[in-house]
Order: sequence, then C-alpha cells, then structure tokens
Amino acid sequence: MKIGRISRRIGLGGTDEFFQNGTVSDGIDAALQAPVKFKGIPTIASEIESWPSHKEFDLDERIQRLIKRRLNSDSIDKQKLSDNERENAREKNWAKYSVDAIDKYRFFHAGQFADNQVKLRLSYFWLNHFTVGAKETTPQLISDYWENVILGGLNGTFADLLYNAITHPAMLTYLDNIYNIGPNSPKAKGCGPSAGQADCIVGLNDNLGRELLELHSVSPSAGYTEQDITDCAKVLAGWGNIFDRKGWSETPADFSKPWDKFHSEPGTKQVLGKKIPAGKKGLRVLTDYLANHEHTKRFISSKILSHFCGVNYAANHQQELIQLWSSTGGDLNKIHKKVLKMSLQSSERLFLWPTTWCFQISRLTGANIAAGFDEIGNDNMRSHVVDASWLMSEMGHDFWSNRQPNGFSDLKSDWISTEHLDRRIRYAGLMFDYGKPKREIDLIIREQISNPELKAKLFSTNNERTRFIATLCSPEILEV
Amino acid sequence: MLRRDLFKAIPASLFLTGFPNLGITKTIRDGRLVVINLEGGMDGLCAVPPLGDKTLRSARRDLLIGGNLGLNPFFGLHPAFKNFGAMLAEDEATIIHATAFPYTKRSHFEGQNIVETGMLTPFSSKTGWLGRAMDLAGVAGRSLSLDTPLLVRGNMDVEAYYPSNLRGSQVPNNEVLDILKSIYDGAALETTEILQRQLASSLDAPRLRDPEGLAMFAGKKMQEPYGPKVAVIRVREFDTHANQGAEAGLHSEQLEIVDNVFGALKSGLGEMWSSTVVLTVTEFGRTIGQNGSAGTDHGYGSACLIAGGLIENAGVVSDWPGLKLSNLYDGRDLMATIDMRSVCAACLEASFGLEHEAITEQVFSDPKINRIYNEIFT
Repeated sequence: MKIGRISRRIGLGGTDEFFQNGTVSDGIDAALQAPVKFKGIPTIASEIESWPSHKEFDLDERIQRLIKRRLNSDSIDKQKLSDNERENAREKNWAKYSVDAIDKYRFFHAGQFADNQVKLRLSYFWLNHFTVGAKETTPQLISDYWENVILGGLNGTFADLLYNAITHPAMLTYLDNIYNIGPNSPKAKGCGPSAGQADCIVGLNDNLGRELLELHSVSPSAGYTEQDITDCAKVLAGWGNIFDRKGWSETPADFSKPWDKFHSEPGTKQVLGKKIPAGKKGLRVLTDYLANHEHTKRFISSKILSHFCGVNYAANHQQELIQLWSSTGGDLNKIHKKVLKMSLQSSERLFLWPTTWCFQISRLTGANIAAGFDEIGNDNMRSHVVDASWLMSEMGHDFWSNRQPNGFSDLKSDWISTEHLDRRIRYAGLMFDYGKPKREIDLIIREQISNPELKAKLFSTNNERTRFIATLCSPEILEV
Repeated sequence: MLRRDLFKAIPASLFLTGFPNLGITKTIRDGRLVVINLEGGMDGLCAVPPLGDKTLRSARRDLLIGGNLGLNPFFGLHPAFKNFGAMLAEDEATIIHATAFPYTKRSHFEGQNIVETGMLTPFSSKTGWLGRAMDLAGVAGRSLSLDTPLLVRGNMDVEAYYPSNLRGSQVPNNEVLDILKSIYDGAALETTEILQRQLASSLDAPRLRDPEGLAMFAGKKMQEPYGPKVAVIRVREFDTHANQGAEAGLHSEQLEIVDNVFGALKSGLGEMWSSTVVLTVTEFGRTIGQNGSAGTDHGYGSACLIAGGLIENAGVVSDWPGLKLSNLYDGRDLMATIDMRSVCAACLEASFGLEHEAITEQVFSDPKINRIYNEIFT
C-alpha cells in the first residue's frame, strides 16, 4: 500500500511525518505514543502556528462560565427592558460566556493542521462510540470531553475510557443522568405527600443506564433485562449536576466527577448477575465489569474493525482482537496498534465520513476555507462560508449537533444520497474557488489515484476546476 | 376484533362537531403517500390522551394536558393539533391508538430499524418497507433529509431534498456531473444521475429546511403530474426522558411541528390532497407513569395519526387495552393491540392500489398481517 493511501486510511492524509523514521509499524507506534499538538492558522492563508492558549478552556472555567451565563440570564429576565433590549442583552450574555464556537474551530483546525493525525482519527471513532450531542449545556462541555476523556484516554484501558466517558458532565447531561435520582435516596425521602412535600417528585431516569448497556458496552446481544437497566440506573443515580441551575444540594467537589450521595440510591444492585455495591465506588465496579464482559469485547471489536477495516472485516481478525483484549485487560494502545495494522492488511475500501474527507482534501491540496483563530466571529464580510461550525453542519457531520446517541453510521449506504453528493461537490468547489490550493491537482492525481482508467478519465477534462472537483469526489478519494 | 364502534369519533366539542361520513368508497389508485417519522418514541398518551381511563391522571400528574380537544367521551386530542383537529372535523383524518410495530425491547436503534425495514428482527434487511412497496407499485419518491432514509431504500429512484446552505458554493454543473457519472458505478452512479435530473428541475426551489417548509415544498412537488408520489419527513427529539412538559414544553413543541407539517402538506398538495394519505410512525410509545424527572421512559404502544383525502372514516380506531397494571405490557407500558404493519399495509393499499396479500408477502414478508383497510378507508 502506498504511503499516501496508508496516511489516508488510518490518519487524516496528506502528511507522512510519522512514517519518516523507520517502518510503517514504527511510525504507527510513534504516533500512538506521541501527544496531539493542537495547531491552527491565525488568519486565512497564513502560516500554521500552535493553537493559542487564550483560546483553550479547562473544565472548571467552562462550568464557571455556564454558571455566570445562567445568573446573568436570570438577571436580564428580571430587568425592565424592551423586547429588543432584552434580546440584545441575552445575545451579548450568551456570546460573552459561551466557548463552543471557538472549540469547533479548534477541532476543525486540528483536523487540517495538527500533526498527530492517527490519534485524531482514533479519537473520532471513540467520540462517536461515546456520542455526546447538543443538549442543554453540553455544547460548552463537548470539547473538554473530546480532549480529556477521549483523546486523553487513547493510551489507557477501555475500562478507564468507559468510566471516564460515562462520568463526564457532558455525558451525564446529554443522557439525562443529571435528573436521575434514587427512589430511596435521602432526596427522595424528603419528597412526596408523606414528607409534606407533595409537589416534589423524584425518581429514576434510565436513559444513560440503558445506553451504557446497549451502546457503550455489552450491546443487546448480552440479553440484559429491563431489571438490569433499572439497576444500572440505580447505580448511576447521584452522578451529575445541573451546573447552570440551583437544582442540587451542593457544589460538587470535583467537576469532572460530580457525584452526590444526597441523590444516590442506597443498597446493593445487580446487573447481569454482578453485585454492585452502594456508594460512589459502585459505578466503577459496574463499568469495570462491563468493560471486560465477553459481549463488550465482541461488540466493540466488531465496531472498531468495521470502522478501520470495513464492514466485511476478516472473522479471524475479530477473534485475534478479542484474545488481545483478554490478555491485556483491554489495553487500548495495543488494541489500536493491532487494528491499524489489520486495516493496512485489508483490501476492502473504507468510505470516509464527511469531515474526515474535508480534512483529507485540505491536507492533500493545501487548500482551506475555514477562518483563522483570530477571525472567529468576523466572517460576515466574506462572500462564502468560513465558519467551521457551519461547514461541519452543512456536511451533515457535526460532532456538536443534536443527534441520537448511536452516533454517525459507518455504513456507506447511509451516506449515499443526492444531497450528500451535492454537498461534497459544492465543498470541493469552494476549496478550489476560495481555498487557494497549494498543490497542483494533476500531481495529486498522479500520487493518489491508482486505477489507470480512473486517472485517464480525470485527465480527460481540460477544465482545471472540473478536474479538481472530480478528483476529490472520485471513488479513490471518497473511499480509501 | 377491533372495538372501533365503541370509540368511533363522537363529537364532544364544538370544534369537532359532526364528522360527516361521505359513504363513498374511493377507488383512486394513483395516490400519494407521506410518512412522517417521529424519531425518539412519540408519547401517544400525550398526543391522544385516553381521558376516560382514570389511571392516566394518577400516573402522570405533571404531564397532564389541559385544553385537549374532545374526540369522544374517552379520547382527547392534544391542543397543539389545530390542523390535524380540523382534518378530523372534515372527515380527513383518523387515529389508530394502542399500536406499535412488533418490537418490545425498547431500544431506539433496534426499534427505528424495525420501523424502517418492517421486519421482525432488527438489522435483518438493507431495504425499507416503503422502498419495497414503491418498487412493487413502480413509483418514485423523495425524502426530505440530507441522507436517504432506510425506509425508502429498495427503490432506486429516490431523491433526497435538503437544500444546501453553503454560502458562496456553486450548484454542481453538468460537466462535473458528467465526469462523475463516467467514474462512478452502482448506487453512486444512480445517485449522480438522479442529482443531475433533480438540479435540472429544481433550481428555482425555495431554500427552506424547517419541517414545515420542507413539507410545503414536498406537497407542491407531489401535486405535479410527474412529481414524486412518496415523501418521508423526519421529526426528531421525541425522546422526552426529562422535563417533557404539559401544554408547554418539549413534547408539545414537537407535536406542534408535526401538526404544522400536516397543515403544510395539505396546503402544498392542493387538489392532490384528495388522493393522499399521510401517516406518522414511531419506534415505540412511552411509559404510562412519569419518571422522577417529569419525563417518560421508553415504552411500547403508541398512537398513529393518519390524514388525507383518501380517508373515509374519521375518528379513533382502537382495541383499547386499558391502563390498569394488569393490562400493561411488562407492568409499565401501553399494550399494543394493533400491529402497525397492518396500518402501513392499509395505507399502501389505499395510496398505491396494491393488494393486501401482495403487501404482506412481498413488502413485509409476513402473510399473517391483518387487513384493517376497511376500518380506515371504506
């Protein structure tokens, strides 16, 4: 397999710096061990720089901003203002404390300009496996979730990744666990008619418990029951905090692991036959059990192989992966290395997700249409779209979008439609018209297209724009 | 046996007074069919509350809706359904209650797959029941979304429609499309050919992407002599685990969108409305009782709303199972007593003129599905 294709198959394409020191295997090892260095461009067509630290936010700052945004919003609502004044005040307040627009640029720039594309590519898989979409306060939290839980967890175990994903405030909010209260919790005992609090109703919300079993770990093949789901919800009761409202008894000691005994369910629970103790530690017992369950190994092996090797992956590859999982305790570093090497052995073509394709064609051509980090919010003077958020949304592949928790599909058939084709053609056209490509399309055809017949057809048109678009939308670039 | 007569619409309010029964058996076979897919699990007990069932009040004290439109002494209709309510009053709509596709495991993703494939086992088919029926009837369709829903796959002549808003981008030109056709094969080639045709005829299309705008556009296209005969519209966010709300709130807002879609379709279809069936599908209903966060969890039976000029009998069709604990599925969900595949089969029969036996055998691969056509369309 050519270096260019390897780079696109397991990375984001267009650069090969991680293959320069030795074999491909050494290159993969080096990439898996190295951190991702976030980079971007300050203005369109400028040189690549490190992403500026003043446009990075830790979890504490994100949550403090949510709290301030909420308090100010309440204050605005109480002021005597005209409708226009109130609307303007709300917009200013929102813009002042929200950081998701910056986060999306950071994500988009990373795909185009950061230097550890293997890890980024792996992170998209796991970000999709543990989907968090837009809901309530999550847009403010998704970037932290991606960087600290997903990217930060790529070198750990699956058990750690599962626990950290489930307990991150973004997930706890997205799947409603912030509203999940034990029916026998101290909070519940103070509620209801018998406690003289007839208007106070609390109880379980099983949304996260259900998806923890179905999507994140064992899958329905494990044959869990409704009682297993209910007990999962009981284990999860007490996890989460409504950060932007006064909905809970106290500020959590640790924003990244918000747990409150006041809302938790006492007593031992049982999930898939495993006894789970009461208290904060119960969830870790549960997620460790699920992480090493045979159905989890089978389900996730299949999923990661489908993503990196194609849906018709070799059956023996799945078995090898399950064995590796068992022998290493779910060491993701070893699992990733194995999967990526299997990907390079597989002859099945992989259909690329839209944003992965966007990043790849940017890296291949050197073109870019997204605004720089110093231009965020200043895009209204331009004649074409430059907003990273808008670009991802228009391509139907925005990790900040409101979507279902099963995430984006890996099936090519789910991405073949007239509208998706229309978007890719338009996007490639925008790259040619405004992106200032740095590399000749003819060179890209010679380097990246292997089928001689396809190559000849692409060279058959004299119109450079047509050749540019057709090449980037050709089967060998859409599927690698 | 359907206890339809028991719950046949009896006017209980001025708004829905006197549903005239035209008493004419329509034989139109060149019909139009629109499926509105309510993703997330629509709460049928909120949309069409069984107000005559006393258990509802005690199970859902924070979610009870005031100001329901009275359909009959037993069932009400959520006040958001202004357009749909008017259609009921004009004998152009009916409701199937306590219905579901035969799936009880409460997973969105398995359930949605069954809603779209019409099969009994999740992920057992790569085509949708509507696509197979379209193929059987030889009709083309249009999905109002960025992708092509599984529901209509199986029919190769399907257009997606969700207009681009990539500012500054150029419409794909024929030179680009011609070269792509020369290098694509299979589904990609067919998609490119359809896109080329679509662009040739739709350049003046409005750039509306909200559900109502898309529905209006679909209706206008479907009334054209050679326009598509099928449309699919998705309305999402029915997964109301928390803060479902009563008259106001997330669920009510979603129902209002659905109602506006019905209204926009009727308006867009114009005279073609008389040859149209519009139905809603959803993967499951929601629990009878509210949960601890003023929401409802995944359930089983729900309600299906059907409208269009092909309908002959307005009202509520139901074999109502009751909400007492002993009548619930798993002690928590509304039991489904009518197979949604029967409802879909009746709508296919009415709009495409397909024989019931052909539908059950070739579309749903299950000849045992009951025929309930007469309950809705004669």
